[in-house]
Amino acid sequence: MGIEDSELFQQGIKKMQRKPIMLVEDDEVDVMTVKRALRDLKVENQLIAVNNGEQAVDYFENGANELPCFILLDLNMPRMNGIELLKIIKADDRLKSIPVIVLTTSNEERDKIDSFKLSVAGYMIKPVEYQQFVEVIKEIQVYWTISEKPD
Amino acid sequence: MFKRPILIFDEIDDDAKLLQTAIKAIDPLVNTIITKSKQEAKEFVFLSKEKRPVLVFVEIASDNNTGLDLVKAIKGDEDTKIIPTIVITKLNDSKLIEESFGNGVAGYMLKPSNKKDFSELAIKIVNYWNRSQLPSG
Repeated sequence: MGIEDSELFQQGIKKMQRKPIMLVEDDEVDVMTVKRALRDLKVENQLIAVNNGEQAVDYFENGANELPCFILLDLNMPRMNGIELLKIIKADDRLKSIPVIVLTTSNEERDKIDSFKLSVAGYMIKPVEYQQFVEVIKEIQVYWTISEKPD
Repeated sequence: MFKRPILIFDEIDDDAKLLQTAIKAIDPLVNTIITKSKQEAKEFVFLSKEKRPVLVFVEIASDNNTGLDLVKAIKGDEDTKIIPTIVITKLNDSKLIEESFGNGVAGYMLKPSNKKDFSELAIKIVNYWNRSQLPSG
């Protein structure tokens, strides 16, 4: 029996499914790929996909919107990039405890430094090949199911 | 593979070895440092960029909040806040979870009660961080 079958893990999944996952991504193909990977992994959380930092801020500003259990964040986006959005999230008491995982094609050291200085909870390079992409999303999903998250 | 040591701070329990075993299974060459002393943990964290740990695991169940103080010391310093710091603890407390994430931890893991589950959990955690990019400096 693997850890995914354990009672604790299943409880974690049930707890996590109550909240949506947010994806901040401007590339439509990447949005579709994440959606497909989540579906293939049978992740049932609602996915809030927004195209850039500004749209994410708009979402957060509406107090009626449910906060996500974690955020998958692309870095290179027009109209407020990922680092700018991270600065806003981490300066906001209501948002700063939401785990943010960078999902990007950027292998630049500068981007890694800027992201980790803003306490991202992981920095994943998007694989080109779909099966590998699914593996990355799976690892993120498993890790954030095991981890407790703020309510 | 991990380019610099991994630090595990655990003042009270002796199960840090299970985490160390999981780290070694995935990256046999990485140097894992286990300490029960906050002072020693801080000395490692505040080493030069080239030598300081690439990841820090903290058990926050400790006398006088030393575990959470260590998290705050790492995450409150402009230079060291770049180090991903993960709580791995037996304390299941929503206030501590909120406070830990508010201070910028990159995960809050509850220790399973039996060794086998702990080892499996440790493997998942280390796999995730082995997949993640980490800043080199």
